[in-house]
Amino acid sequence: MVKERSSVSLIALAGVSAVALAIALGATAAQAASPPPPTGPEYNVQSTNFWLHPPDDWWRAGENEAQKGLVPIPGQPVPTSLADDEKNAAELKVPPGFKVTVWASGVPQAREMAWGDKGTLFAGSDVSGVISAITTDANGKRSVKTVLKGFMHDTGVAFMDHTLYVADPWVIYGWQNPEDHLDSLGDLKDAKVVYSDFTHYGPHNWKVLIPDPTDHALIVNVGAPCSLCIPPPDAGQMRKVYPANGAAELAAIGIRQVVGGAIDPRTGKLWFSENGSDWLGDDFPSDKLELVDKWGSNFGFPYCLEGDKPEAVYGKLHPCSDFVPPVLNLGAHKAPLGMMFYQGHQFPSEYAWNIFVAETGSWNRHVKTGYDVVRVIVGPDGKNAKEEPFVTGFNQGDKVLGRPVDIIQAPDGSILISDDQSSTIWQVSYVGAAAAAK
Amino acid sequence: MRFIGGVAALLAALAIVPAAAQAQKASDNSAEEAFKALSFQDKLSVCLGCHGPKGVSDTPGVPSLAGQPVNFIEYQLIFFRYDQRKSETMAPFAHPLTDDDLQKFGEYFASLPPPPAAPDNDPALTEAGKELDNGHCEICHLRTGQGDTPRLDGQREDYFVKSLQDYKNGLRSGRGLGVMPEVAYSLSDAEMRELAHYFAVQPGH
Repeated sequence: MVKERSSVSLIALAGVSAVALAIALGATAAQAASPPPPTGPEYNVQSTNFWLHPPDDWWRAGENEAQKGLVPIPGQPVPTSLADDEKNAAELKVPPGFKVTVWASGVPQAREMAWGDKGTLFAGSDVSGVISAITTDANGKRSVKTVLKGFMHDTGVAFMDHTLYVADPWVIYGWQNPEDHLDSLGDLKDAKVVYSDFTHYGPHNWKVLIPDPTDHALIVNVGAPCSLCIPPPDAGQMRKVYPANGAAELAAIGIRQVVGGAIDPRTGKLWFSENGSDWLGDDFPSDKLELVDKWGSNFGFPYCLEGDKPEAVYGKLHPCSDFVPPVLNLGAHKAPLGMMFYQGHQFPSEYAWNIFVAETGSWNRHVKTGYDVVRVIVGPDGKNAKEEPFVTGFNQGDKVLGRPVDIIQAPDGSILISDDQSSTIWQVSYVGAAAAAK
Repeated sequence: MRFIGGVAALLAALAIVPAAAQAQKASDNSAEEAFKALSFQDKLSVCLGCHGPKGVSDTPGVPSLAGQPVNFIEYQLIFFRYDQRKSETMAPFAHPLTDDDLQKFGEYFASLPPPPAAPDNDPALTEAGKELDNGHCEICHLRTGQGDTPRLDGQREDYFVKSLQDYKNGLRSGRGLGVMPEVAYSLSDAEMRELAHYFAVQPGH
């Protein structure tokens, strides 16, 4: 009796995934003769019995003895004080000529940011479930207030066509001209629902919203409900949602979880950062930076990792050549989130059109990695990308000063970086090599 | 409105609000205002009224908080404060809390000795829960009560089951990684009872 039921495991949703697997296999039986994976036992996936009782190790990437104790590193429930933020700003490292300051403090678990039409910066939160509005008065004094609350996990925020959009795990809401009545945006239960065609599940249900202003559309992720599995057919993808009529279409498939991206205004093409699977090792697989050259492209999850490595089990179903490789492998467990194309004039000219990516950092790696903002130098075609560190110093080994989440350009050409650990918005400005040397 | 009456009755029972305030028809705001006006010690007395004088609850459906990690208490109070975790009972108490208040509550409950093991009146159920757990839960829920995750040993069985049901039904989402909904989706009601019983009869470390 005991043997027949599964014990509590981090690999859940087995029933759902089994159905998806059967569907996936039916669709791809002709391609099952892919190159053998580098490791792993043999599986007779053609047999009906296989699908009735898949072997225990078919379900991938659960916790194991070697990784026991690699629990999420403790978070920080309450904001860092302004005084400590200012001390911490001095610990952060940037290239010569740049400086880091505190732009706003006490912004509860600040996540994705968006500028309103009238100069308000809106910020989503992690699990505080609030939207903060940061306004600046005529004297330059900034104030932070909570203007919406009661969300489950409101990581997705965008502003487009005079409307503030917020994505909770299974609802995208919209508020028109919110800056005209910031103090009375009302109760969430009365808010306008823009789109809600999402299956309800726990893992990777949090969202990013990427505005596509040319098409008046929002790109939203639907994460895979697992660390490594063949996801149900309606997950592991990005969708392009049209708020005007609630229609949606697939933007990209074969993805695990995406919490950051941007449309390149030069080409109208979508770029995004993708977080790779956990529990396969400290240095594998890499997180990725990707370019959707053709809408609906498949990026390979879970069959192919890092663009060229067949997954040890699922890799039997599809070769890597079926998928679009990444622009750049960013490194395992870095957890890249928000990204932006630099379009300002404050930074030196070599920064024009560079991509800044916020890497929020590892949660279950033996030695912490990430916790930086990196600069990716690449053209609009995605070829020959290279990266350099841009802001470092959040990760101090035994302690972490903050976790970068999203990046947005300020009107003066500086960049703002949200941080959901310290509840801070940092500003990076270029002050010139001479000023920096003083 | 049932809960607001409950809050008013509770405040009245503890004799910490003036009679005039008791007579007044309670509204959301008046209950919050009354609680907000209390000193930390008096706020704490209200908490302990349901969660038990030593943080070990005798109240059905109400968890024991003794020995829970500081971060866990703080996160839950933040969730209740912003209605991210929706509870009619907790909302009026949590809405007025400052960051300073909730840090004090976290430190207070973390300092209390963890609850004792409940008497085991059903060893077969304990054994079933142990097999089901198979050491998985403590990978994140450290038995020594650290980090962001709650201590499970000695928790009330009814509350333990309620927590898992809330995760399964999407009423709670946990701290972002989505691990608990993922775990709870796969559990039947019977399996939840097995786990709840197994942990209830474990002594705190």
